[in-house]
Formats: sequence, structure tokens, C-alpha cells
Amino acid sequence: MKETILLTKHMRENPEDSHLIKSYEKSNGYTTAKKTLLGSSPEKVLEEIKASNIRGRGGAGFPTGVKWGFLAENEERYLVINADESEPGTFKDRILLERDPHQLIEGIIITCFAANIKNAFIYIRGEYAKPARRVQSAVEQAYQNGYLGKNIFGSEMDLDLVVHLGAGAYICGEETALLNSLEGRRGEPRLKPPYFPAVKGLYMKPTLVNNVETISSVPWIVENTGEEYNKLGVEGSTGTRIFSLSGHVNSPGNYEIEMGSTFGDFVETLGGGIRSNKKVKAYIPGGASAPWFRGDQLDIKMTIDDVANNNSMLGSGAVVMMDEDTNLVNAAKSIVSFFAHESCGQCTPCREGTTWLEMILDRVASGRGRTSDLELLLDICDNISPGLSWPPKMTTICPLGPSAVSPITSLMKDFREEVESMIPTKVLL
Amino acid sequence: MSWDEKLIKQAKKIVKLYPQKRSALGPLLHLAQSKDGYISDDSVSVISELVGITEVQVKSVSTFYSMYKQEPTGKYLLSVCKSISCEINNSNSIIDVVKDFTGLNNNETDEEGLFTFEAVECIGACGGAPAIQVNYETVEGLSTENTLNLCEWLKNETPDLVVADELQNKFGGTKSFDWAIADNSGTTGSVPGFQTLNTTKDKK
Amino acid sequence: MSDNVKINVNGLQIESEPNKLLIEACEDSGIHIPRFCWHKRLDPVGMCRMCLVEIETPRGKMLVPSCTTEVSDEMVVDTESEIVKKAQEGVLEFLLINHPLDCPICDKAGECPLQDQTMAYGPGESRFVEEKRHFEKPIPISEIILLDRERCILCARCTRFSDEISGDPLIEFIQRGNKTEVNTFPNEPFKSYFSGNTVQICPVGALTSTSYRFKARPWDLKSTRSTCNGCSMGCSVELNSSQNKMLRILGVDNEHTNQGWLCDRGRYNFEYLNSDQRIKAPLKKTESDREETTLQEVYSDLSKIIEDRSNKITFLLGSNLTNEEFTSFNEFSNKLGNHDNSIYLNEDILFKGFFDENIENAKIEDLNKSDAIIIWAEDLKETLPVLYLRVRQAVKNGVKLVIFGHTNSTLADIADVYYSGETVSNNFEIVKDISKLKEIKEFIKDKNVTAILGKASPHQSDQSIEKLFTYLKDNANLKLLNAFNGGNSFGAFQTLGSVKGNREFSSEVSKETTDLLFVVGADPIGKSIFSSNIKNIINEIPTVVALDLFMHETSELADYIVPTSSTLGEKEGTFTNIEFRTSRIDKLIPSPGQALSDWEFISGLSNFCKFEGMSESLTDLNNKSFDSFDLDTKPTFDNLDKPRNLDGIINTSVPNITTTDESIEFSDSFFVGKKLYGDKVTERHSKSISLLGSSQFIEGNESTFEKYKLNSGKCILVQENIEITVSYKINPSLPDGLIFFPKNRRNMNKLDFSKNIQILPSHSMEVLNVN
Ligand SMILES: Cc1cc2nc3c(=O)[nH]c(=O)nc-3n(C[C@H](O)[C@H](O)[C@H](O)COP(=O)(O)O)c2cc1C
Ligand code: SF4
Ligand code: SF4
Ligand code: SF4
Ligand code: FES
Ligand code: FES
Repeated sequence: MKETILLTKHMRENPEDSHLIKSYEKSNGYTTAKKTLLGSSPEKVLEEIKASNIRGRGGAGFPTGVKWGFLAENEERYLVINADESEPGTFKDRILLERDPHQLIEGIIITCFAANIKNAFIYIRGEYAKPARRVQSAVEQAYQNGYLGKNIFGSEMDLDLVVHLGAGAYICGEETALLNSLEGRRGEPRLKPPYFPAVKGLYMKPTLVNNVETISSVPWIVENTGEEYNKLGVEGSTGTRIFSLSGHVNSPGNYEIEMGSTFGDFVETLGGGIRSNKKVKAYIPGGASAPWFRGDQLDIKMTIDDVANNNSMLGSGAVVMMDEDTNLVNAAKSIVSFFAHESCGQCTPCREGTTWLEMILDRVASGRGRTSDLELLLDICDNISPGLSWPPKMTTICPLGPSAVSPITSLMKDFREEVESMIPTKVLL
Repeated sequence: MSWDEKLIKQAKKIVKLYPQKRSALGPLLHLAQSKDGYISDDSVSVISELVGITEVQVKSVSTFYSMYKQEPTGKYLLSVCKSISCEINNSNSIIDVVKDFTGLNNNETDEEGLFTFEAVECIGACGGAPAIQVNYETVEGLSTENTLNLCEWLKNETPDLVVADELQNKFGGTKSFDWAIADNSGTTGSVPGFQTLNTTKDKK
Repeated sequence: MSDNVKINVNGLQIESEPNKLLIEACEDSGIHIPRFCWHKRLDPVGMCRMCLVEIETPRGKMLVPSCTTEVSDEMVVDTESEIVKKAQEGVLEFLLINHPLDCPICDKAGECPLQDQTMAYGPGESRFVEEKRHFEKPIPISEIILLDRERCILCARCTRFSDEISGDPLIEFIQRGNKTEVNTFPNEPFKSYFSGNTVQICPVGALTSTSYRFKARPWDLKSTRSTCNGCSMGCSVELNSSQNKMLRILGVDNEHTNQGWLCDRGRYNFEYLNSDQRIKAPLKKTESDREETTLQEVYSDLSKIIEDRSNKITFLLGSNLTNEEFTSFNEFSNKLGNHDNSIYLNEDILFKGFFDENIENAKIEDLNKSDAIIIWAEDLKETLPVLYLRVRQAVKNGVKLVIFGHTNSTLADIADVYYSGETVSNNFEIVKDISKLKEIKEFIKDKNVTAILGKASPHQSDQSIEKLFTYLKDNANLKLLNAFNGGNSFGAFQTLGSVKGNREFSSEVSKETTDLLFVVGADPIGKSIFSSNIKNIINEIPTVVALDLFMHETSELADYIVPTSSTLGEKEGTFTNIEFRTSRIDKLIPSPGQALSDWEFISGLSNFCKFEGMSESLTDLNNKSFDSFDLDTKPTFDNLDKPRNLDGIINTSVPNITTTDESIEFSDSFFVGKKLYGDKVTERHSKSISLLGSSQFIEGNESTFEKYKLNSGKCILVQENIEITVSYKINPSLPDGLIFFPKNRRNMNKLDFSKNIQILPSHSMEVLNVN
């Protein structure tokens, strides 16, 4: 299989200076935005986005055109770019920020034109210092060239864009937690209902929250039409998507591909296969939140729906390969411990449950497990995510709590013997 | 107020960026971190006045986020990733090297105030696992050997400016993606190097 | 109002107002859903997850928190399904894994929602074998509150209360996830006037009061419902006692008044009841000292004075009496017949107020329903604290707020307009043409306006406030609360026929007008701004009888001292609040020694004097108090005890306050007012709060104090041969030159505000300068 290069085109062709405005302009950058602002209409842009059938790249996969359509009328509306990318395994937004920040800014300009927004923010996770610097420089350049600020491109449109740095909290990737954080509060997810961002978002005003990759795709779609974009990929998963491949592969990295081929194909060709020709024991198809697939499930297609039909999710597009030698209990523990550490602590089941799971897994991993721990683990999971079904039911406010359940149910369903083998027989109860 | 005039001026500039004052709280806490290497009670008081909320409200926010340190950090904050992609790529051995070299446990700072060590969650360098950040400057594709070299180099050279590209060239390996052109911007303290915070410089 | 919606809960059809939260709708229909974080008076946060229920949706059954889900028509709800039960068990188990389970030593045990719900919905055995989360055991977070973080279940009730309701967010969540704890900022204690409410609503024993700690078990408590008489708000309370000692006061959720909240003084100012300093037997002055006597002897001595019809008798009554007691004094005074208008109320700020048939009295709940609220009065936060909360609530609901300076500075923070220095002079005169004040016009013109009007300082002229009143009345659809705040003042207005205040007392009363003076539950010498005048008067009157709980600066001077019962828990009666709502005062504990109710004393004395036609019993007095009222709104005991009247009965009759119009002269630079906490004798004898009102200070803005060259934090107030060292506090909301004196703080009664007071840097500084 081969990559299909849309979003990563400019950076590939101009490795020396793709992040600079001059270089971006040389690749016809900002011409789409200019044309749009001077000659198109918000309705027209929205139509293209709808026609493209692009679905959000932040993890939830919500149709972007529909989301924009939901934005409530108001004098004051906001756009917030979600650049909090913190889902373990994911590093696709990082490349877009670092290597092609102007593409994102152009996407922001067009989006704000379409949604009649005058204030936009890019919320970048605090650990992304270098990407944030690149974006900030790009924003400054764009202001200098009159692409941001008052009367952009000489049009009627004004737009201010602020780059805001997070400070170490995965949960701020959840859109309502992100808004709280941007308001200078604890990054705790809000209740939905009633706090849907499109109605009561930033400062309780209608707000669009979109992922970096989603908005970086906007210039291409508007330039080449939604119809063209819709031809790429497969139905329900149109266009290209940047997958972050990591784990035990020979060639980890970001790959921009059309959705539709199998994970096996992806790993073998672009990923260069598993290191030392080992077998895949299990893999994560869409970031640490996603339930795992077994090594014998590599023929599942990389589309949102195919993965969902197999009881997992394509999520943030992070594929992590674990070879036959992997200690899966340790792997699960790492993921559970991640969620325990990142729980905001609002909901009882998530706050208490994730830490409890972590403690038990820690005992099991270090050889102090009890046989009863297996059922206990599952029952705790059940109290966070009743029925352990997919998509998960939740006893929590946001999906973070239930995400911690994924690796455990995967482990117990498909690798139970491996867990049992770690329980010392002498303390069998 | 115990922030000097220059810092207050910068703080006020940041406050102006936002439609509502309180939004500046996050960046102001970064400023506080850059000033003292942690969020001092004193800074909390200053910030509470700047954004018009109570001190405990500031504290509540500052303790929510892991990058706002509640204890003084060393000159170099060594953050080794322990999340899944790094975990299955032996991040444990990297952690051991750093611990051995510095003699520190998780979240500890040495007496000289040189190093703070922490094992952290995913830093978005999974393609280059295992990875570390030094003052939020990323180094990918570590080996145990290079990790030791990195620590030694920091200890001997004690650079005031930490630059990701420089460290990556000296001590890194496999990268998550092509970094392309070398970048000489870096960070001046245990806080992200960022223009708005005045915490970044270019290495000559 | 739109139509009710019908929902199906557990197979039962129930009706509810639209937009109600499911948990409330179910509750109203008798279906209880367990909960921890939800509280009717706080914004829902849906955090504890105890109240999960299943509802049917197009995508199948869904688990939702009933405390954040609004009812909708045809909604199908299951509150008892297997999944719901399992989730509840799960939540309880999660809450318990880190809970210390120290019920045997926990104040909350026996009335603990966590304990109760664990019994009702909890799992059996704990499966948690790991190490529990540990915190240092109770840490004091203020003088009166302790926090045990191990017991905390992070329901955010305390943090929401202090942020949303009282507006002083000094207690907050610290850290995140599993490390989250509730705490205050180092060196910034939970110094709120309302902190006790958090103890009451904490669903576990994490927040406790120093005053109640380890004192009793719920199952040993006796309790009754009563009304707080600490100010004119008349908050509904539940009194708790054990072994005849008052141990605790809780707020009762009275929709019309306090909605469950109390101020901390109302809640904690009860410990004096148990003080061994209470007067327990009648005392009589002798040549050199005082000696114990008997009631009969007091009656006998006094009857001799009373029987001599040429003797003139005057009453100075405190505002903490019950309506029935006011009536009893009124009856007695009438019986004496020698002169009317012999009754004075121990109030410094008394003027005729705005009472007449053409003025509509506001109800407290009108605050929420109006378009704008206009306030010019003494500081509500200091004098009518829970009314202050109700104003905050109204503002939160979008009501506009306009404040006239210079008192309500905390509310000014949330006000839409605050008229200070440029508009209001240091003498509390509006110096601009009100009709030209653009902002107020915009908010009130032809709108529904509730005004809270009273004098901001005793020296404010009647005319200045009438000017504002007239403007409001002419331009808006006005309802009004008269901001008198002294305890049962409104009851006194209604039952006494006509009243006068301390100002009139000090100008009218002398040994020429009075041979016998009764001072009842009042310490004007200790607390009035007319202190020195009143002291001279009392000294020259031949016979003075004090009816009181304690010895204090006024009772000290009396010839007879009769121990009385406190209105707080020691007697029965009724109380009338600021909106003329009359509610029950109830008795729970016996009075110490020979102490008796004031009305019992008057009744005994009348009997001794063989007066005829006096009310014989409390019920008679109660009936007589409301003689002129319509039958169905008569707040008789019978009526008030009906379930529908537990929250009190409103009746507005037009009171008659016969004050003189002359203004009190103050220097332009001074104004006096009350702080919530002072050093009244009852406060001094309530250990938990005694320190809170002990500091002495004055307030002014920075430039004012600069003019006085103050810089050491302390200064000396000098007047004639008096020197008082106080600290000075910067209050930026005060206009230049104006200085505030808290008159209920110690020694302030020594100052005469009509004369010059010098403010000098403190000696210690001068000494330093000399060195
Ligand atoms: C726990 C959690 C973490 C998330 N983290 C991210 C993130 O890091 N980046 C992101 O774009 N979306 C993240 N999301 C998804 C966002 O809530 C939101 O759906 C997304 O930003 C919408 O943008 P999109 O429609 O363009 O995908 C997260 C969601 C959850 C529940
Ligand atoms: S599920 Fe976890 S992260 Fe999400 S709101 Fe609840 S406690 Fe916070
Ligand atoms: S202290 Fe009490 S009220 Fe406050 S969060 Fe904890 S349990 Fe809730
Ligand atoms: S506001 Fe007044 S009535 Fe209410 S508790 Fe406080 S003192 Fe008592
Ligand atoms: S898992 Fe270590 S950088 Fe992502
Ligand atoms: S009561 Fe509903 S979540 Fe706590």
C-alpha cells in the first residue's frame, strides 16, 4: 500500500522551511483562504465540508459538517483548536503543528469565515514546547502579513488567534475539560447535557472545538471541493488520515493514508513489518483508550466502522503493535496507570476505580496477585462500564473512566491464561 | 507584590490576550514556574490579584496540572516517558539509568538543584520510543548508553538553554517523524520555552 | 407556566413540572433516589454518581444521573433496575475503599448519609485489600471548623456553597484524580460568615464544628423547630439539645426565608446559654454591693413604687423579646396609665421608615422576581446576613442590582451599579440629581423593583433616604423592605403600637420623666452610640430594674436584677421578621436557676399589684398580640402549628414608629455601623465565636489613612481623656476622608461621634521614631 499525500504534501516538498510563511506561500498557501474570504460565502464553505463527509480526527469521529451546522446563533462565538494530543501512541498533530503550522492557520481562517467567528484559540498541550513555538511564530507572521487581525486579505473579516499552552493534563483533550482549562479552571469535563460546546461552550458562548488534523484538512477540501475529498477512502471514512504507528515495528512514524486497507497490510508495508520478524501478540488500533485486537485479527480494515464493528475504535489513529514477547500484564498496567494518573477525579467510579485497578494490576504484575483478583478486576470494570459492552455504557461523566477498562477486558477476554500464569499458586484462595 | 515590574508588565500583557481575565491563569502559572522553578505561595497571591480570584482558587487550578510544580525543581527537569509505546520499548531501563545517575526517585530533586527526575505519561514521541524531555525539549530514540551520556553532558556542560534539536542530534536515535530542518530554539528553565512566556531563546 | 409533564417511573405514572430535575420530580412523588453530591440549593454537578437511573432512549436504555437530567414528557425511568442497583453498590464500594470507617468516633454517625446509604444500598464485605489513602486527621481550617480529609467523599457541596452561595470561595479542591482533597490556602483560613452551612450539608463527618465536636450522638438529641432571633431575617432553625444543654443549631429549609442557610453567628451564638456566668437568682443593690433576693421581694418593692400613682414608669426594651412579651409590656404600661409612649426600643437606627397603606411591602422572595434590586442601608452582610445571600441569589438569577454607598461593599462587587463617592457624600446625602443618574433610570423605569432601604449610618438624615424612596416610587413598580435589622424589631413595631428608639430615649428621658425604669434584655451603655448620655440618665433615675441573662455595663447599674430566660430555646412565643412573617419561637431546654420569661415576670408583678384584666397566659398574650389581624392570617399558636403554616404567616399591618426627625450630628469624617460579630455579652460567652468579634479596628481607604500618617497597622483614637488603640483596615470602597467605626466592638461605646476624635499613629511607632 502507498500513502496518499494531501496534508503532508507541503512539508514533504519543502523539508527545509515548510513552517515558514514564505515557503507556505510558495506552495500556494493562503490562496484558498483569500479566494474564499473575497469570493465565497459561509454557506458555500459549509456545503463543501458537508460534501466531503470528513469526520473529526480527535477521536470521536463526529461528522465535521454536522458539528458546524449545530453551532448556535450568537453575537459571540469561538473556535478552539484541540491540540492537546496526549492519547498514548498518538503524535500526528505534533507533525502538523511543527512542520506545517500555516496550513492549520489557513484552515482556521476559513473555518471562522464559515462560522462567523472572530476569536479563535489553539490549545496546545504544555509538553509540546517546540510545536507551540513554531505555531506562535507562524501566528505572528500571519498577523504581519495581514492574514490575521483586522480586515483579513482586505475583506470585512476580523479574526484574532491566540496560542494557549496547556500544563500537563490529558483530560484537557476532552473538549469540555479543554474549555474549562482555557477559562482558567480545573480541567474537569462538563456535563453534557447541558454544556454542549456548540451551545454553551467557552464563556458559555457557542463554540466549535475541532482537532488540529480536522481543521488542517479544511484548506484542501475547500480548494479541491468536498466531492473530491469524498472520493478518497471509503464510505463513512472518507479522505486521508494520518496514522501514528509505534510499538515493535521496524518503521514507526506518521503515515497519511486513505482509510480502507487492513492493519496487517499497513504494518507490513509502511511499517516495515514487526522487528526481528516476530509475530504480533496484540495491537491497539486507535490509541490507549481502544480495546486491543489479537495478533490473528490483522485483517480488520482500518475504517471507523470496521473497527467499531469489531468492538474497538479507530480513535485518535494511533496504532501500537505488541510482539509475541510482550508482557501484556505490564502493558495493561501501563495503560491503566495512565488513566488513573489522568483522571480528573470528579466521578467516584473513575477516581476510585482506576486507582484500585492500578493497585491490583501492580500486585499481579509483581507476583503478589490472588486468584480472586481476576474476577475482582472484571467486576470493578463492570462498575465503571456496566455490562462491559461496546460501545461502553458509563457510570461516569466522560469516557476516560471507561477507557481504563479497555486493556483489562482485552486482557481477560483474550489473554486470561497469561494473567493467571502470573498468580502464584501458593496464595491461591 | 513580589513580582518585579517587568514580570508584572508581561503578566498584564498576557491577561489582555483573553476576553476574560481568568483565562490568563494558566499562562500566569507558567510565568510563576519560570520565575522560581515552582509555584510559590507568593506567586499564588500575586496571580490571585491579577486575575481577581481567591488564592485557594489559584491553588486549586495550579495543583490540577502536572506541569505546575509545587516544590522547587532543579535546573533540568528530566521527564522520562513510561506510557505504553515507551513501556514496551524498555522505558524502564531508561528510567533506571536516570535514577542511578541522579540518585533520585520519582519526583525528587537533588540537593544541588541540578536535576529533578520524573516518570511521566506519553509525551507524543511514541514513534521514537523510548523518549525523554529535558525541560520539555524532546529527545527520541534513546538507548541506555545515550541516556547516560545525556545526563553526563548536562551535568558537565550545564547549558542555560536546552535545545531539542541539539540534544536529539547528540543523544537521540529513531524519531517519530523527520524533524527536517534543524531548529536552534530552546528553553530557558523548567517550563516550556515559549515566546509569550519569554522562556525561549535561539542558540547562536 | 407551561403544562406539567407525565413521566413513567418504575411503572408508575407521575406528574412533574417541566424542566425539573428527575431526582426532584421523583422525590416529590415519594420515590427516593440515593444521592451524595446533589443538594436542592446548589447547582448540580453530577459527580458522585450515586443517583444513576436508567432511562429509555431511541438507542436503548441509558444510565444517566437523575440529578442532572431534566424530566421530559413521556420519559420512561427505572430507578431500581439490576444495572442501577449494581451501579449504586459499585459507587458505595468505591466511596468506602478509602473511607476510614471511624464511625465510632465520628460526629456524623447516626445521621450520616454515607452510613445510612451503605446500609440500604451498599455491598456487604469490602474487597479492598490495598493501602487506604491517608491524610493528617482533622485539621482546623478556621476558628470554628475542622476538616478531616480522610472522611471526605469529594462531593463538592462545601466548595459549591462557598463559591455559588456565599461568594467567598476559600475552600476548594486541591490536586486531581485520586489525590484530590478539599482544603484551604495556607494562612488563609475558611473565614466566612457562612462557613457553618458547609458543616451542615457535608454528607459525611469531614467538616465538623468545634462547638459540637464529640458533644453528642444524634440518637441522644432532643430537637425542636424555632426561629433565629439574631437579626430581623428570622431564619428557620432546628434546635438540638442533650441533657438539657443546647448543643447545636441547624438551618431549616424555609423556602420563603433562609432556604436552609444560617449565618455563623445565628448558628454558633448559643453557647452562652450554658454559661455559668448566667444570672440565676434575683439580685438587689445594697449600699456597697448586691445581694441575692427573691422574686417576691422584688415584686413587693416594685409594687410600692407602682402603687404610688404619681410615679412615672418607663421601659427600655431589647429587640430580642417575643411578640408576646412585647404585648405583655404594652399591656402593663397601658395599665399603669400614667403616660403613653413610655416604651423605647434599644435601637440606634430607628426612624419612621416607609410604612403606609400605599407602599407595598416586599416579600423576600420578591427579590428573585423583580427586575432590579436597589439597596441603600446598613451593610446587609453584617446586619442581615442571610438576606445578603438572598440578594446574591437574585443577582445570580439575572436580577439587576444597584447599590448606594458606602456600606454594602461586598455586594458592590456583583452590583451592576455602585454609586459611591461622586454620588453619595460622606454625610450620606445624594449630591446629584437622582433623576439624572442614567444607570438607575435604565434599570428601574417602569420595572418591578424591590428596594431595601434603611439608614446606612445613624447620622444619615431621614430626608436623604426619602429622596431616593420618592424617586423610586414615582418611577418604578416598587416593593420595599424596610431594612431594620435588630432581632424582633418588626414584632415590636406591630405589637407595641408605637415605638421610639435610643435617640429619643437619650433626649426625652430623665429623672423628671421617670421614677422607675425597666431595662429589658438591653445593654445600651455597652453598645449604643448614645452610651454616655444613657449612662447619665440611668444613673440619675431613682429605681432601675434590669431583666437580663448576664451582668453587663447596663445591668451593673440596676437596683434590681432579675434573671430571665433566653429567647433562644428557653421560652415559647412568636417572632416577626423583616417581611412581617410571623413564626414560632419554641422552648427546648429549661432556664438556669430562677430565670423566668419576661412575660412571666410582668405577669407576676401585675398579680402582685392586683391589676385586673391582664392576660393570664402565654396563649392569651399570643391571641392579644394579633387582635386586629384577620382570622385566617392570625399567627396564633394554633394556626402556626398547622403543617402548612410551619414556615410562618405573613401579615402586614402598618406600624407606627414615632421617632423625632432631628438628625444626629456627626463629623463628616465618621460613620458607624455594626459588624456581624461583636462583643455583646452573649457573644463573649459563646466560646467558639467569642474571638471573632474581639478585634478592634477602624476602616478607611488608603489615601484617608495616609493623611493621618498611619503606617504601623495600629493607631490611637483620642477623645478628651479617652485613648483607644485599634488597628486600621484598608477598605478601598470607602470614599476619601470617611472612616468607619464598628460600634459593636469593644470600647467603641466610649467614643462620642458628634465630637472630634483624633486619630494618631500608635505609640509604639512614636517610640520607634524617638529612638
Ligand atoms: C478523554 C478524552 C481525551 C481526548 N483527547 C483529545 C485530544 O487530545 N485531541 C483531540 O483532538 N481530541 C481529543 N478528544 C476528543 C475531543 O473531546 C473532541 O471530540 C474533539 O476535539 C473534537 O474535534 P474533532 O471533531 O475535530 O475530532 C478527547 C476525548 C476524550 C473523551
Ligand atoms: S470519567 Fe474520570 S476523567 Fe472523566 S469526568 Fe469522570 S473522573 Fe473526570
Ligand atoms: S468536605 Fe464534605 S462537603 Fe466538602 S467535599 Fe468533602 S464530603 Fe463534600
Ligand atoms: S441571618 Fe439573622 S436570623 Fe438568620 S441565622 Fe443569621 S442572625 Fe439568625
Ligand atoms: S508512549 Fe512514550 S512518548 Fe508516547
Ligand atoms: S447525586 Fe447525582 S451524581 Fe451525585
